[in-house]
Amino acid sequence: MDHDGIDVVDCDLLIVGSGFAGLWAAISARSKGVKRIAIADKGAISLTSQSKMAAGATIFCLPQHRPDEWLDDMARANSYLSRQDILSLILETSYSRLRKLESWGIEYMRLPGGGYFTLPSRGFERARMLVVPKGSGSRGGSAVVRAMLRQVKAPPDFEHRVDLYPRKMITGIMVRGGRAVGAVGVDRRTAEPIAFRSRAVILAGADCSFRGNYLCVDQVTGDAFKLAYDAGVRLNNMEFLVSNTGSPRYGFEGTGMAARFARFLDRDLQPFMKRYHPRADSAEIRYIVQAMADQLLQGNGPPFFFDMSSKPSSYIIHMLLDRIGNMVPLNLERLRETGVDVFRGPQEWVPAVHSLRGGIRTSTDCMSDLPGLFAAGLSQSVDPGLFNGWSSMRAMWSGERSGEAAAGFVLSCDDAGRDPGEEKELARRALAPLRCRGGSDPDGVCAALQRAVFPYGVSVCKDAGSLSGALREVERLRDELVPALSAEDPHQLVKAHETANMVAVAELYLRVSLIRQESRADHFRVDFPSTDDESWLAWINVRREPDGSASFEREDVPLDRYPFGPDLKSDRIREVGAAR
Amino acid sequence: MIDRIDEELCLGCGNCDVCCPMDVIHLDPPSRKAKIRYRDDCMTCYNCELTCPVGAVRVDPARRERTQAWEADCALGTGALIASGSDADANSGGEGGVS
Ligand SMILES: Cc1cc2nc3c(=O)[nH]c(=O)nc-3n(C[C@H](O)[C@H](O)[C@H](O)COP(=O)(O)OP(=O)(O)OC[C@H]3O[C@@H](n4cnc5c(N)ncnc54)[C@H](O)[C@@H]3O)c2cc1C
Ligand code: SF4
Ligand code: SF4
Repeated sequence: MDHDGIDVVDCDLLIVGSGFAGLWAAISARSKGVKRIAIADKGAISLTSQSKMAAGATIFCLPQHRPDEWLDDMARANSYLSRQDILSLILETSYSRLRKLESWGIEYMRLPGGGYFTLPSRGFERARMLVVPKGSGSRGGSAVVRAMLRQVKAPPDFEHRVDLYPRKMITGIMVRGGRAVGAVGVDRRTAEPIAFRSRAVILAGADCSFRGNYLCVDQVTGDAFKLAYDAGVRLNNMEFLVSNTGSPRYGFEGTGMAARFARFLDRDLQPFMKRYHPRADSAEIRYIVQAMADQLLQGNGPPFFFDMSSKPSSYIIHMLLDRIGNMVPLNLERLRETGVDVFRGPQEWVPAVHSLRGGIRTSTDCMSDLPGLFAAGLSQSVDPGLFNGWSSMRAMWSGERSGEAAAGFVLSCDDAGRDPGEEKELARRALAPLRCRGGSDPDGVCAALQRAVFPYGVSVCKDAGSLSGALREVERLRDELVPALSAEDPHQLVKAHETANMVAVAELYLRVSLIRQESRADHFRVDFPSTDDESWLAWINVRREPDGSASFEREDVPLDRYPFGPDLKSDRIREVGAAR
Repeated sequence: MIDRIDEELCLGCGNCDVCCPMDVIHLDPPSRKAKIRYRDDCMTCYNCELTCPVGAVRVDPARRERTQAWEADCALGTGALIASGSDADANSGGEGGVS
């Protein structure tokens, strides 16, 4: 069906994004009786997602493990800003998802005796992950998304359909009668607008990387955050921007797996992590990144180095990396061809801006404040930290859960009707950059945004002065350059939207970072270096008011309902300058 | 960064076009050959090379220049940093192995 040049799709449930979360949502919504499901993705269906490129290490709590112990560790590692209600659900049900994956043909690495081979997840004391999934000739996340895609494409009957819409970038959510009733987007190759009319929408479009220097995340531009924000729902944990580490020159996956086997060195090739953390080089990545920033202040870098050459560690890491599949073995081979053997000696290494860990605040059913709008995967806010193997498990759980909950919603509500006027207006806005000739160039605006947000004083060791300066620059981008973003072709059109989304998300990041006057998890304020549980054991929710302004509210963590909390009497002050 | 596509070898299957997350490669309809359209957007994910059935695509491991944290004007505060805090009691995460 068409009107005003807009392609119209009628469906019951629209899923935006086709990584682990989006695919699992489709499978579970269909199994609960939803008949017409549409999956839209701005790239290929699942094959361009982070999930496809992931190494596939995933935290599964096996029957012999204690979910309560893992929850304790996770709550502590996230400085008690985790949604412990959601974490409990994830851990208690994770084994059932492992069994489902196995029934779909996925096998995780096993020991010669038959038991699962597991690795500790960097930063947690007890939680462990299964690694190197394989199936149908591929490995890693690629094997997992392919197995899931086969399920999606194999409908149990003709009544229950999942239709796939690749290369459709969603740019606006339709809200009517106080609920989400679909979305509008554009085709990435033709710039033709498309409207999805649905009874519910699941946002599974992942998080925001600001096109930082971590690998394979340039397509992760905060679209889902901006879509939800514009729809008026609350987001939180937006102050938690996590950096990983990596080479400034080439991509490298495996810093997490290399925990316990490798060392970080300063410019004189001296190890420094022992001075910063009792777990030294196996500490959570956040401590390594913060230590690098401190070393920089002391003049000990850059450059910094990462050394995986000591035996037998180099052998173990090498063995694991070669098995991961995806790009990893090919990348290592290409590096060797160009004279770089990452296992031979110290490699130049830098912090790499990776992921904004906040997201859409939801119920345990994954529904946002707006009825009919659900969030899954990294679009949902669950906890502020980045831990190996946890993102995948979160995406799988929330995919399954949001699919079930959305099914319940879809089957109990009426058709929302149609409003071609609203579709037309959203389509007009989606195409605006094509009409704006000679305006600002998306790449230029993106580079200016990165120069504002990536400096250490803004991304790692924040202080009021640096954050305020960055905010002024981001506001200038928002007011002067974003409205004039221009696109010469559909490719640029997508980049214009992605850039506008990143600018909007950066503004929220900076504003909330200024509000939280303490240090917690990856939010480190040099001017407020202590963790202040008395005042700040709370989430900062942000939402867009009808007049377009942002409003902020504090929401206390409900420790009375959660199993684990900090000992408020203990001295939780970080030892400022202890490394000196 | 993507280095080249060998047009002699290319069968025009379109796999690399479909699997490129950054829309760098387009299959050119008249010639049915894959072309590099937006090289500067390449993020060195190797998806194209991994998916090509005939080995026509080659990706170089070097990545495009990236904005680094210390390159920008970096006004760091004077107080410093971390150390153990609430994690001081945390110890080993255990060795890799059986569970
Ligand atoms: C190189 C790499 C290795 C990793 N390794 C691991 C690992 O070993 N273990 C682990 O747990 N985690 C790992 N991760 C992280 C993990 O892959 C992700 O956290 C997880 O896969 C996220 O799943 P998701 O479904 O939320 O999002 P994604 O898999 O990113 O899928 C989101 C989808 O939404 C689409 N989308 C976004 N915006 C829009 C829009 N506006 N319109 C339409 N579609 C849109 C995207 O194109 C994408 O396909 C890794 C990540 C990377 C990049
Ligand atoms: S390496 Fe990745 S981003 Fe670059 S052209 Fe190939 S598929 Fe596209
Ligand atoms: S995948 Fe290979 S054969 Fe297929 S279009 Fe691309 S270059 Fe040509």
